[in-house]
Amino acid sequence: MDTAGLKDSQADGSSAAMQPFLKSARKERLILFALFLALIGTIAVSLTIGRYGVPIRQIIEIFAQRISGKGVSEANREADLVLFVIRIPRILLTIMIGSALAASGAAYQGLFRNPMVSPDILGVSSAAGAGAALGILMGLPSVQVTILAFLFGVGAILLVIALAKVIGKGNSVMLVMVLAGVVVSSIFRALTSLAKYVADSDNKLPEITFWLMGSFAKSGSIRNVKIMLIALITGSLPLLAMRWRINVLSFGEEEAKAMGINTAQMRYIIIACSTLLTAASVCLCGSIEWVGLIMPHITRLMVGPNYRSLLPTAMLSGGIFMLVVDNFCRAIIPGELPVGVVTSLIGAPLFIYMLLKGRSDWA
Amino acid sequence: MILEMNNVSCGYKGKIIVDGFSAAVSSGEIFCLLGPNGVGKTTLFKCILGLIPLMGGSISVDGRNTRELTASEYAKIIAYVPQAHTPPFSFSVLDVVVMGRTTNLGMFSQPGVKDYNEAASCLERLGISHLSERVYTEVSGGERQMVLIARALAQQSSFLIMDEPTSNLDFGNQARVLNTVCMLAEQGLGIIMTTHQPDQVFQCNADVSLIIKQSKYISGAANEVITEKNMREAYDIDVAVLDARYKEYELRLCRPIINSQE
Repeated sequence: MDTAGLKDSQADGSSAAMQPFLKSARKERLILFALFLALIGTIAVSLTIGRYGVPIRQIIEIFAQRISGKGVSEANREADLVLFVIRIPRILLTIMIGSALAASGAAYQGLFRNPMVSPDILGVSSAAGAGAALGILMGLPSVQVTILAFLFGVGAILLVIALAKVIGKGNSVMLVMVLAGVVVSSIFRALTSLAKYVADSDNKLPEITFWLMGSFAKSGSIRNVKIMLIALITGSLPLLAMRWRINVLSFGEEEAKAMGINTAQMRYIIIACSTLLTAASVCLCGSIEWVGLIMPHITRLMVGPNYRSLLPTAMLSGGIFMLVVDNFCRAIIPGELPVGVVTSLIGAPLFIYMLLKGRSDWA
Repeated sequence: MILEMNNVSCGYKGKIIVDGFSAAVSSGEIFCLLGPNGVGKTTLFKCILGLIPLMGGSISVDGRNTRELTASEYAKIIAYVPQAHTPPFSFSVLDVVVMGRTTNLGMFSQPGVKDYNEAASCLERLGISHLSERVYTEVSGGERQMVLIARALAQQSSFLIMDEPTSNLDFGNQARVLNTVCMLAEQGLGIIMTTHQPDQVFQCNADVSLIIKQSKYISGAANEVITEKNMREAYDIDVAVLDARYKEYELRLCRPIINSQE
């Protein structure tokens, strides 16, 4: 009999069903690739930007000399120093922090089932800010300020989880957690204000203020790049590995559980990862708002809401966005604009624009 | 397979809402939970799904205690069809249905070709393949309910638990969803559903438990349970249960008596 016909119809049946999936998978890969090229391009441009001008040709020359192993020529020594000690670490750190914030924002938006959620919804940033302000107030060296900020950030989340456990007692844990986050945030912001109030207005107050505004100016060092790399890998790998399940979680705790997900376990993994990513970013570079909120948003417009592609794409575009903003900060005035201010100035109107454009990604 | 509830008690924060409930549902059967608002239908429901703790009694599947199962094992036995809702993100219909495959996937894996094919065949089984590429948040309420049923089918479990599957649907969609429910039972699934419409119990020729108050239940076949006397006791209204013939169909109807003068 016509087994060939049967085979054909089977192949047709499966490929027809697979069409939309394959089509979107292709589109997602294409966008990911395009963003990767964009990132390379942005890095190349970023290397040339700054007060010490290094033209592209010289950059290529330096790279060629380094790779050849013959060492950098005398004429390029100064430019080499600028590139490898200052500019490249700063670029790498900027990209990683953009990625970290975007990843943690995207994960939280799925967990809290709300596209308006940002990485500091549970109070990580405010607490880390308070920790840093306290450290500066006590006159601690910068490494210890960083550590204190990180500990405060993590501590705040533990406090939120404990509060949610005590108050929530099983039902509506997520809602209680958000409320606890608001309360904890508010307390730490008050502490920050107090620290500013008692700080010496000649040296410590400006330092606290500058820290809180967020900047890469002082943090671009090889050491920080290494720290952030470890935080980024530890925090984002579990999220990336479980990203399909974040989709299911976004249908709500009850449905996710009925679909076979251990929701409590997953909730804590996501919170732990996001906290690590955000706390590490904030303690190295101060609080940088909006990136974690709008990058997942913009990415959702590009690749749709499926975390399969949303998470990696958001991380890439987060890195690019952060790098572009930082370049802008470095180039626009002779001194330097605080990057946190610029992300807010760009992010907020961009967000309004997207709301007006009104694709109903939320209802 | 048989799902048995023995002397089940459940509630919230130490307050028992449902007390001493017993029932059994086999594959291929439809079992309805009927009762006034606030009597604990939803609570019982969540308890059967394992979403809230059991305070007394036991729930077992083929003699195996369900409390010993993990969420993933449980999901392979019972699937949940919630009321049609609007999630925060605009997934495609096929993506929503494929999520039913989660329990068959490893912690770190993504659904593959096989899972998408399975999801597509679930859509086909319900006759809604044409929705596959549409956005879930943009299809109608009736279509969304069907998509959620397809998602539960993709889970390939033996039982479906449906929370008022026809609520908020128009007249035609109510009938279509109910038709699907009956069809799935004929295909061998065990179905537990809550409803506010006694007529649906007759239409599905289902077993029913009428929850009158906290620890008073009347269980049995539709004809035995939904009587004028029992309905008056449960809802405190006058009810007429009527028999009618239409063409070759024998119909039994349940209708409240509305008399505004008195």
